[in-house]
Amino acid sequence: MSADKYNAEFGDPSSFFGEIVDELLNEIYIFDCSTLRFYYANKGACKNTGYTLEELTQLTPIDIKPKYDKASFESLLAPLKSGKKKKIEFETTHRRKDGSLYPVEVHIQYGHLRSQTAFIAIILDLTERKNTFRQLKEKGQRLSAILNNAAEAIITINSHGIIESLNPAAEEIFGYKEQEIIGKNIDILMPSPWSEKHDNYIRRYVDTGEKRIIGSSREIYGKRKDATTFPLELSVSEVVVDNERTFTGIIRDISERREAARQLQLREEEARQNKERFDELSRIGAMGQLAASITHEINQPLTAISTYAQSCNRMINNKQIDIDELQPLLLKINQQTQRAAEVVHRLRSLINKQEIQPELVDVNELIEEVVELAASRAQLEGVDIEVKPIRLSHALECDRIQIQQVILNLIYNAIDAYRNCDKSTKKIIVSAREEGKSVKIIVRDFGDGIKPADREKIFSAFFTTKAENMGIGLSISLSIMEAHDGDLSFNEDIKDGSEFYLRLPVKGSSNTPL
Amino acid sequence: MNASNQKVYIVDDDVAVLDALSLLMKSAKLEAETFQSAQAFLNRLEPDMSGCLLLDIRMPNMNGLQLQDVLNEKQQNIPIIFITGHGDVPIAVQAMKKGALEFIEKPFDDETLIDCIQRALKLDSINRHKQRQKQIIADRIKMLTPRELEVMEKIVAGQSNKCIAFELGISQRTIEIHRANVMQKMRAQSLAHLVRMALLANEE
Repeated sequence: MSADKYNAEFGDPSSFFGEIVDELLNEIYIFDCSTLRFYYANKGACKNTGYTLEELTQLTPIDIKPKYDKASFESLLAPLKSGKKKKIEFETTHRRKDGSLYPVEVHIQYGHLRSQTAFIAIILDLTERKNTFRQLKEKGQRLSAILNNAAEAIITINSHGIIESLNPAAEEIFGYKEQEIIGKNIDILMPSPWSEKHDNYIRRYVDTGEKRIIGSSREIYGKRKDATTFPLELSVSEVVVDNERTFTGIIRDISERREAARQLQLREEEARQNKERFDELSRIGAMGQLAASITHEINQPLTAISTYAQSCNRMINNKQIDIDELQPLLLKINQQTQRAAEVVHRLRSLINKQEIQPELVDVNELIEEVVELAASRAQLEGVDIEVKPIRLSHALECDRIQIQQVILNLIYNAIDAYRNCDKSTKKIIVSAREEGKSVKIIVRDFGDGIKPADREKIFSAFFTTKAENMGIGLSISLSIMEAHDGDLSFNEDIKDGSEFYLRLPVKGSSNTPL
Repeated sequence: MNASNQKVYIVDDDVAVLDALSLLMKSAKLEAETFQSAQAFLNRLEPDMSGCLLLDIRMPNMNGLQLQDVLNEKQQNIPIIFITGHGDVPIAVQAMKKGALEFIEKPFDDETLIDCIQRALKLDSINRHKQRQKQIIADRIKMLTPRELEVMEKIVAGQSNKCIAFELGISQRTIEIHRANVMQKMRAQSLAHLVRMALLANEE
């Protein structure tokens, strides 16, 4: 029936307007007032629902609107029938022939077409619109999620400096609740002097358009609700909507960054102090070792002195001894006292290492004294020390104790050089020589010599070839020589043993004969 | 106890300290012998040295503790008194653990040192006496037959003749003969004497 009836009732769809209606992409339906059966559906309707026109004319709107039944749909149409409404619009869902659903906006009106009355329905497929909306909504949600979760405080103000919105980070950073602060002037978030000047800043910008902060960022201070201040980094952007300026401030609390920087600085400072302390300790450690060795060296003569004295006392009590037998013992005691005093001198010179106390010295005497100091150790190790005196034309000016310490160190090293070698004669020669404006004091041994591999290292601190030594002797000696503008070295050409020498400059040109 | 051949052996690398110490020994009427190094003392070492050792800790080459080790290895149990300039506890503990008699800091009080030396000499002569006794007992034990030795061990363990006879599966009469031989060869004046000798022989 349908097409024929439709044609009979409404005219040929191939007429001009009929064609337009038929070709519209929107779905257009005409359905019966009482049976609700479709008379007509355009191509758009057929295409979108998947039904043919023939199939559709067997159906009613209820068949394609799953949310409605006959009763609810008729009650929806009632106002149209009664004439209360010219048109109804509503959103619902359509079901295609294949069962798939799509959102639609439905416009229905009651029409008198020629002699007939019928409902005319125009359907807008909302799928795309819904999608767009959903996208917009999601985008909005995302944006607000970003704003709400941003670590940065985001505050918008109007051109009068009045706060219009803020995000949770802003609440947290400044300690205000949203409702406490919206509508307040932004200057309450600033400490003096910015709080007084902020209104002027905005006014100046509005008046002149000169950008001071907008578009850039700077580090300033913020003020929390509890009046404490903190460093922040602020960047401001401007949005103009409907001639209304809005300024958006993005604020990053940089107290942590500052704190981190401060901590870093503290740590660096601490590391520096630790290093200094370490240096100090290693110096003390070296001093501790020296002190132990000096303790020993002082204790030995003290032990001898006290033992001699106590023995004498016992012998006198026992009437074991004559007065004239006592005299050599008293001399021995005195010798040991001098020996202890000598060590104390050396200790003092070690402690005041930096301070040179120069005096004019006789090189021969200087050497002679050192050799005496080294004699007991040399004797113990079976080493002979030979001294070759010289005659100098210049007086030598140096710190006697320190230079003696250097020479003693060289002699001790020379003695040690014989320790692991089985030479039948163990001999050390200490000599001196004038070379231009300097005096060279040479300690020669015929012991182990310096291993080629050790040559570069022997002057560095803590390098040693001896198990019980610290390896600071030569390094201390070297610094003493440097303090004297002299030097300390060894003769690389010596194959048989080693030859160390120290060189002291001859100060001035005094021709004092010695 | 014969103290007349006892000597105080002094080892110190410091000539002056050695000299002063030998003077102190002289003042205390003690015979002394001095050595400038641990090696010098070892060179002089005899198995039957009697006396005590006054030993410095801090010496080049071989220090006092190392010498103590060597002496311990050689089972030379001459009493050692350590003398040191830097009395540090760990070294003292180490030395004492290895059997040193005393640890005296330099400079020392003459009375303290001499008292200590006297104690050391007394200990040495007791040790020596004991050693001699042990040797004598060991020599006597060597004279026992294996059976007699067996019987002696059971006697000193407190077993009765009857019990020993039962255990060894021989007659009580035979045990009595063995027992008499043991007493005679060991020159034991009583059972108690025999037990004392057996204990001494088994001492470390």
